[in-house]
Amino acid sequence: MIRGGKLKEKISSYIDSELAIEEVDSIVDTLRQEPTARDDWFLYHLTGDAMRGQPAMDDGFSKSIITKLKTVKIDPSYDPLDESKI
Amino acid sequence: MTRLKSGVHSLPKQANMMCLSRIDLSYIGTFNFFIHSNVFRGRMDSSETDTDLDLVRRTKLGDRHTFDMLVVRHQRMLAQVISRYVKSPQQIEDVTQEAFIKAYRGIMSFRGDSKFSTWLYRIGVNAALSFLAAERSRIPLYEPSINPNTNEPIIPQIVDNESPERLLATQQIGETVSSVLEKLPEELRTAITLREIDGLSYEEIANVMDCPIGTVRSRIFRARESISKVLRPKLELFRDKRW
Repeated sequence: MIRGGKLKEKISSYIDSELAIEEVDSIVDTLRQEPTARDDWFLYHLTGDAMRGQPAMDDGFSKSIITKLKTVKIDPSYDPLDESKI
Repeated sequence: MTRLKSGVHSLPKQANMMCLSRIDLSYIGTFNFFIHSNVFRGRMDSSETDTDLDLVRRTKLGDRHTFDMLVVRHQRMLAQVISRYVKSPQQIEDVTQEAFIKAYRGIMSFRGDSKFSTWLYRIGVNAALSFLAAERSRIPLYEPSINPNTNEPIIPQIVDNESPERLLATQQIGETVSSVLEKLPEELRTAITLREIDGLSYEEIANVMDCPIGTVRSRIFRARESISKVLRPKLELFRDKRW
């Protein structure tokens, strides 16, 4: 597994959709497994959002959404933009 | 090996208008490429993957954690879109959460005809409008109070959609980022600004700054890391706290 500054640089590139295809699998695996890598993912996005003047969400906001999502299942027949089924 | 260029979501308007064509293209695994449901646009001869589309594809294949990454990636922009319709901070969070849940539940219906962010924000706007419609049906019609001294109606104050805590956090984070940016070497500041504010791709930034793409990649990372080092202690990040 890649670590250190090289890993952080690859996370930064993946955020920008500039990571080589053959490197994506290992970075996603690392993001899934390494809390420090997820912190970098969070902080690098926060940096860009702050530069664009977007509001800071409460620290636990994404965590609460993610916790809620654990109870939700993908529904192949559901289209959230189909008003008749909302 | 067929490769596709990404960074589509970050292209400036002019560059987006130059997009030439769309075909379905994606891959599974590192070298096992196959036709799937991706968006392929102009600016080709590339070797990078569109991150949103990649994360959606992985979510569709059953990896729920990759949708968590999309939540972290889009939460602020989605909340900002929703805040144009919904006013209280708690309601903004509730509607934002509802929009993400709808998006996850209906992720199979996203076919890549538009950018993922566009699809998500449409869900957010619909969720906000549904919320407002439900609120209107619950709230009695407004009857203005009369000021007994002037005998004129009292105009209610517009509710600020930013809580004091969030305003403070936004201000502090913004000030921190600005402060670090000012101290960065000019080449790092220029690279991160062209990327985050102007939305240029690494290739475009390399052309502007007359340097190799690898140098752009390094400069943007070093700028982000410099800012993150200062932000990290302020945010009191803890392991396993966020996901």
